[in-house]
Amino acid sequence: MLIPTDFLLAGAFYTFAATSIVGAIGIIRARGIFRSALFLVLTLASVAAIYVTLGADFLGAVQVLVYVGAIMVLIIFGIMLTPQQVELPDIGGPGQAAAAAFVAVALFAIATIVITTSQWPRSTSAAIDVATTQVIGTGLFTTYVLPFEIASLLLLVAMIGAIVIAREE
Amino acid sequence: MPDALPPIYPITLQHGLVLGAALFAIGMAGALSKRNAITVLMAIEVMLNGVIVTFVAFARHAPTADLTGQVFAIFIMTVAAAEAAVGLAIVIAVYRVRRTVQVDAADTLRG
Repeated sequence: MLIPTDFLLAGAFYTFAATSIVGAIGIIRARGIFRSALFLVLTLASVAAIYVTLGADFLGAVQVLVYVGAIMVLIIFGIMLTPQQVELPDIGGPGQAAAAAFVAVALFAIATIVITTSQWPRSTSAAIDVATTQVIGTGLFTTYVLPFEIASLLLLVAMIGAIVIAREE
Repeated sequence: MPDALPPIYPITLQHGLVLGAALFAIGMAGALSKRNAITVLMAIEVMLNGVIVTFVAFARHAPTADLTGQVFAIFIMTVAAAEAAVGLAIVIAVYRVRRTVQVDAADTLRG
């Protein structure tokens, strides 16, 4: 029973999955850090679309605001404030790059084997048909109110810490 | 609603999990091999995004619709924002002292 909406959703998922992978590889392979940053935008935006295809529309909006907006601006500020550092060779020569790629491939292979061979509990709902924003908000202020307050404290500490660390003496 | 997904529903839990693992692995390859500290931070953001994709995939296929996975994704984004702010502040502070952002240049604490 493959209805067209499911088909479109699946097509969007696989398309954006491919672009997110391409962007992630581009970050590593790009010549120059600014191109890496642009590939990171591609990855983050694709992941935002993937959230939407997985029923997390509120998270998709937050991803665009926080990652594609705030964090990317922060990273580009960092690039602009550290001039003449745009193009650096990989650390430790080609040996370390090969070793890092090997470790990553091994990790991905092990994770894929575990994921595909595990017995996962059967899903019970065909689609998330609740108002995600309302459910997330209710959860944040009832069940998860303590982590929520700790997260706000963490943001405050990080903000003050970043100001203190980056300040001119 | 039926008690299970239609058997040929295309996006299964495993697809989301494999995508999350792939993003995590690619980000780790970058974090281990790049010399510029800002590129390392970017690779770490990709790793965190892989983790969030995993959480969202689990939330999508959870037996209950209380969206715990999505709430945890919000917390991960919070931590990621704090990490990016402090990390870039440290990079800029190191650059001010050393005139470089190479991760192997700031090795004063090496024994």
